[in-house]
Amino acid sequence: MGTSSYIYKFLGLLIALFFYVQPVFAEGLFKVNDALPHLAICEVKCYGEKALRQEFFFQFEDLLTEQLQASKKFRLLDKQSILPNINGTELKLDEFFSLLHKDAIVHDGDFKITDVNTDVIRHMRNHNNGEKIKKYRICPHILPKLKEFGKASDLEYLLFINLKNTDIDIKGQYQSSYSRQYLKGTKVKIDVDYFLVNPETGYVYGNSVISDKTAQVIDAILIKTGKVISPQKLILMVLENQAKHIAQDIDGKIGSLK
Amino acid sequence: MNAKSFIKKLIGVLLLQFLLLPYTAFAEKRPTMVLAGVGSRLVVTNIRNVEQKAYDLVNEALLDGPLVGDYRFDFYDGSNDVRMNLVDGVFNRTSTEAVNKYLHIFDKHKYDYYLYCYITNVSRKDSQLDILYPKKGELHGKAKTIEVDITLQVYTNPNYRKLLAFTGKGNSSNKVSKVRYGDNTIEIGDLAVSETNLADAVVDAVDNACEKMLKSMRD
Repeated sequence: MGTSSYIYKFLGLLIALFFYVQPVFAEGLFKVNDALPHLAICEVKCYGEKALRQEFFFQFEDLLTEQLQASKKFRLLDKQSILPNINGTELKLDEFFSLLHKDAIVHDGDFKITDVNTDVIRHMRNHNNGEKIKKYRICPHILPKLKEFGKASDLEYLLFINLKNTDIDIKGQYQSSYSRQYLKGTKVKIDVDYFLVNPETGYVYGNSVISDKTAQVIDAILIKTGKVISPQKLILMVLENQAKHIAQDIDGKIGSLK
Repeated sequence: MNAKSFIKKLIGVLLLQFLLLPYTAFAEKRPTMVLAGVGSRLVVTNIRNVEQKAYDLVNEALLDGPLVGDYRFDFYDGSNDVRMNLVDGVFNRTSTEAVNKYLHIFDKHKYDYYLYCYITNVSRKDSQLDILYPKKGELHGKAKTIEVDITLQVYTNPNYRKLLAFTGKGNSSNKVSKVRYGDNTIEIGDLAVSETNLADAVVDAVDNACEKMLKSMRD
C-alpha cells in the first residue's frame, strides 16, 4: 500500500470529523429563531376585583412562554432585558406598562377605571360570551412615547394579560330527602382579557377568553362516582387551557395590526 | 509516488486543518448549565407537610435525571453555593427595579445557562366508582393519585433574560378494586399512598419537563 492511500484515508477522516463534530456555540444551545417578530409579555396582572395570588401570575407567564415558544411564530424576549433610554432618560418600565395596559383596557369600551390608586377597573356593562374581538388604537398622547419605546427596545409586539376575574364555586347540595342524592365538588372559572399592542402603529388587538373546570362527586343511592381534585391543580388546568388558546389566537392576528 | 506530490498533499492537509481549527476549538468548549435552585409556587394542597419533602425530591431528581451526561452541555449543581441562594430573589421577581439589585450575581458566575425549577403543584386526586346492587352484591373501584407539576425556567447569562420555560406533569397512583357477590369477596390492590408514590410522581414530572427541554435543543 502506497503513502498516498494513507493520506486519502486521513483526508477522508478529517472530512468525516468535520461533519461529525458539529460546532456547538454557547449562545446557540437552544433552537431560537431571531428572525421571527420579537414579542414580550409585558404585564400579567389583575385589573379587577377578584385577584389570584401572585404565584399564579408568574405561572401564567411561564405557561404562555412555553406555548408561544412552541408555536414558533414569535421570538420571545424577557421584559427584564429591556432597558430603553428614550431621549437620554431611563423609562420606568413598570409604570409605563401599567399605563399602556390600563389604556388598552379602557379604550376597549366595556370598562372604566373607578379608582386609579387601587387599579380596580369595573365593568360598565355585563360581559358577553367572550366574543368581543376589537381592533383599536392606543390613546394619542401615549402614542409618540410608545413609538420611541418600540424603536429603542427592538420589540415588534407587546402582550398584556388581565386576569380580571376568578370564581371558585364550592358545590355541596343535598337534592331531597326522597332521592337522597348528594353532590360535592369545586368549580373554577377564570376570565382573562389579553391585548396585543404593535408599538409601531399603535394598534391594539383585544380579546377575552373564559373557561372553567369542575371536579365533583355525585352520590346517588346505588352509584357513587366522581373525583376530588385540589383547587391548585384545577386553577393550573384552566390557566394552561387559556394559555394554549391565547397562543393560538394571537398567531393569526399579527398581520392585522400593521 | 514522488516527493513533490507528497509535499503538495501534505500542504493540502495542513491547509484543511488550519480551516478546521476554529471549529475544533469551539467543539471542545461545551456550554455550561447550572441548577440555580428549586422554588415553590404552591399555594394550597391537600397533603400535609409535603412541601419540604417535595423540594428535596425534585432537587434530587434533577441532579440525577436526564440532564446529566448529555453530550451538548455540562450540567452543574449550584445549590451548595451561598450566593446562589440569593438568586432566588431574582427569579421570584415582582418588579423590574427589584431585579437590578441582584444582577451582579450573574457576573460573578461564569455559567452560560441558569436553570431554575418551580414546584407548582403537589396534590392528591381521589377518584371512585361504587355500584351497589342491593341484597346481591357490590362493585368498588377506587384510586388515589399523587400529581406533581413543575416548571423549568432557563436564563441566559450575558444580559440576564429568561429564554424559555418548560412545564412537566407527573403522577403515580394506587388502585383498589373490590367485588362482592353474596358472601364471596375479591379484593385486589392497596389504597394507601406512600412516599414512594410521591417520589415516582416527582421523577415522572422532572423527566417530562427535561424531555421537552432536551427536545428544544439543537443536535
